[in-house]
Amino acid sequence: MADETGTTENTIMIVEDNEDVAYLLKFMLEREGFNVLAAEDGRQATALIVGEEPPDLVLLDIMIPFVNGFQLLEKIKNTSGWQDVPVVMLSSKSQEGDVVRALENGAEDYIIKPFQADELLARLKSILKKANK
Amino acid sequence: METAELAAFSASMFHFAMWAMIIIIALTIIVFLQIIGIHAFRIIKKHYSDRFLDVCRPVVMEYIVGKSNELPRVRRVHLYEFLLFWNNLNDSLRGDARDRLISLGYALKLNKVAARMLKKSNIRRRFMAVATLGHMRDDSSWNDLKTGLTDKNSYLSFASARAMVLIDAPRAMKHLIPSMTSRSDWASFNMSGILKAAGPEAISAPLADAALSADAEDSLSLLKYIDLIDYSSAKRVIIELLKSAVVEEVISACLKSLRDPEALHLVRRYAMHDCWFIRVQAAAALGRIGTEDDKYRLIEMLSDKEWWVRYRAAKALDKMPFISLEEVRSIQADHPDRFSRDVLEQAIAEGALT
Repeated sequence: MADETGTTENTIMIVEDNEDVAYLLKFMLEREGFNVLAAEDGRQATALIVGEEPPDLVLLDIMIPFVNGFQLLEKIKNTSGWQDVPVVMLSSKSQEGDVVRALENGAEDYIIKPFQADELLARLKSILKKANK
Repeated sequence: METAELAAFSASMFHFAMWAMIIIIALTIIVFLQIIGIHAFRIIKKHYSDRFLDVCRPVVMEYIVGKSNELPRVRRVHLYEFLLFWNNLNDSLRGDARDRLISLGYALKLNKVAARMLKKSNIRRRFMAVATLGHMRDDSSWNDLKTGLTDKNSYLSFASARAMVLIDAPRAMKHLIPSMTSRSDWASFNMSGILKAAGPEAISAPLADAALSADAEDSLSLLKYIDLIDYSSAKRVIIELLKSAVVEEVISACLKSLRDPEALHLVRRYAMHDCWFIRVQAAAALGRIGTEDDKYRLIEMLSDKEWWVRYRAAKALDKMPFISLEEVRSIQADHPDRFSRDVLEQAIAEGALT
């Protein structure tokens, strides 16, 4: 599953309720050779966390229906096998308190929307590279 | 009544009841069919819309990542869906990808489409048109957007404000400031988002000048955004208003935003003001910018007749960097007033939590 270069063979789970943004992220990541697992709300994401093998990275929106991103982050960090999966938050919530809360709860990085596509890819690759070592 | 008359009356009543029942059943069927029709129409519309987006999305994605110059085919019937998709992506992206998205918009002449849409009466389409023009940074419809600022629909007027800021923030501020003071339906939280996006370079001077020259009510509306402008402009506004303002709410708002020790003498003066909420803000300001001399002023304020003043003075004493916790404890122990000791206890407890 893991690849040291952080480019191919890695699986990234996207949790994003905005259909267009989810499509864009999936498109970008698949183009770079990643396998993509997508959930459009907190319930679907929870089902994946409980029933699926952990991915190599989770890209997590905060304001999603049913279970919010902070709660999902906590769930990931408390689920056996998922604790070490790096989580990157991607949200339009830009307040310092939200960023600090996410990082304190174990998120690897916090990217604010609107995001720069190339920068997002570079950050994800860098995190995966570190995690795959 | 004769038997024959009674029979005729019964027969007419029966006919009336029968026809009423037939009409009710017919109306029910019509309404039922209408509901099914609307539902079916929506499903079919969604089906075609999804099919269109399935074809169009990959083409747009290839274009914005710079891998292709092929344009998506957008038929008139799908324009609204496409604009929704295009605007949605615009809100989520910045940098090269968004620049390419805008260039795609120009290649598809979306600005012309939006300008035409803006003239329609349908509010949903006008809203979409305003958002599109803003994202495209197209100023050819500037006057229409300016008119949109005064639209009675809050969402449309607000979207017009946002579009104008995206197109030309410094120019937009001239038109926005009067609306910011007059439109009570604009939420200050949302307005702050627009002003943040415009940046302090564009908003500082016009907002500061307007706050200083406006009457008390308008000035108060503009002071809500004082923390978003650059430090020197904010300082100029606050100090000027603290020197000249007579309206208590304005003085209180200025004290609340004050961060500069240059105005310390004014704060000390307001610490003795008759109005309790001015004394509250003066106590908080002394906590932020006060010197050791102000320690005694704050100790005195611990005995104020208003609880909020006592509470703010206690919090200020607890926060002052040159007063240790031991010293706060000793002030508490030595204070003759029981209420002052209580409020200090609360401030110390809250301070320990944060």
